Amino acid sequence: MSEEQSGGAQNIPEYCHYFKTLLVEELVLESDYRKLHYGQCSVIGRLRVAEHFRLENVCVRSLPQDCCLPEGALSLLLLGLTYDKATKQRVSNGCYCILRGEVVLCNVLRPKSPTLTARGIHEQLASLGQDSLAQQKLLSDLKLTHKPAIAVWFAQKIDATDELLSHRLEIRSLVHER
Amino acid sequence: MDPNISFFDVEDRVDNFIIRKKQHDIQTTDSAKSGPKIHEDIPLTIAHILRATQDPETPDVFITYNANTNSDPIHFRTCIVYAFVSGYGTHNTAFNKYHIDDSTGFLEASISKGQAKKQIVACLHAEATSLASSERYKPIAQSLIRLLGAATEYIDPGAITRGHSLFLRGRPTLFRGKMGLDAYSFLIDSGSSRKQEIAFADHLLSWHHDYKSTTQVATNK
Repeated sequence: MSEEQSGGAQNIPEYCHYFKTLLVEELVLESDYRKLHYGQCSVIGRLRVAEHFRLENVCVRSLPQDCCLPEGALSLLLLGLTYDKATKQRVSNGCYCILRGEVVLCNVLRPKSPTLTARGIHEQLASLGQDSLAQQKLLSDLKLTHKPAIAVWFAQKIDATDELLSHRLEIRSLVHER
Repeated sequence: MDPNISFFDVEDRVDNFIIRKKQHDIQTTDSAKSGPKIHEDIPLTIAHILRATQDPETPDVFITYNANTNSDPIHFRTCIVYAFVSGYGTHNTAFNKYHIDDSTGFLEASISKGQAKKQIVACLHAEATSLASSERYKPIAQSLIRLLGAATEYIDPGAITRGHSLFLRGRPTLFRGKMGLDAYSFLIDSGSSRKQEIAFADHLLSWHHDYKSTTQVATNK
């Protein structure tokens, strides 16, 4: 365990300078915040406007059925989107859209406090030194207070959601295949 | 061309002429030398361009790979990308610079302001306006004005703003250690329809799939 963590401290994630195609599921279901995507991303989903702006997952029909969650099963918190901006970018409740922005960890108990990133967690862990108990505690505390969110920079309404998402995923696998 | 068709028909069919326009001086170089096939105008992602290297023997040829493993090199001179405009670079007197991103990578593309072409369009526009005052030439002059307006959309990159998506045709360029793209031509794709993006992705995926199968056949022999 201690070996893994000291390794983790050195493996500080590198900032992703491009809007990598990610799924809502990949961000919401990431249980280890150290492995959360660090940097920019683009996600496709369905916008939900209630108390907060959220993005619901969409179903990808090209994926095998057992890898697929029903549409709207998960949702991701969106930061930086206001009614004003949403109207300006012509996105509204229930419309399918592509969002581009940055992945952050938002303190849902104290929304005004500064947001965290995967890199920030690595640095906080490193500052604790070799104390693996304290590291474990920090991680479990963060799990209780922080949730992944997207600081939205661009929002764009789209048609043909399913087809677009599967094509973008295919391109992602073409580029990152080994 | 049929001499009987009117100028209005030409205006309606202008797309046909653009598509049919022959790009000469390109095909000739491919077969002249033996060696790897050098592709023109192939669909690439920005990740491909970022990992491209210059061919040491022919500097205008770039080599890129599909995956990180250095197999199946693709030799190419020009390429086509489809990307999102995420920001502006520093425009200079001759080129506009845009930060483009296709979700696989990020780079700066420079697009010529097309000043020479713009000047020709402006001259023709002035000519046409003066002709339009005479009753005899009015229809043709107005037709020309409309065509010039349509042509400007493809010449002037000033209309490109953040949040647009673009098709770009061009070639990679290495400047101060950074890979960029010199775009020869562009096409703006805005609006909520993602048909063009999907069509491009289709083309890109099938091109690379076909390319991989041809190279595999060649190495298996």
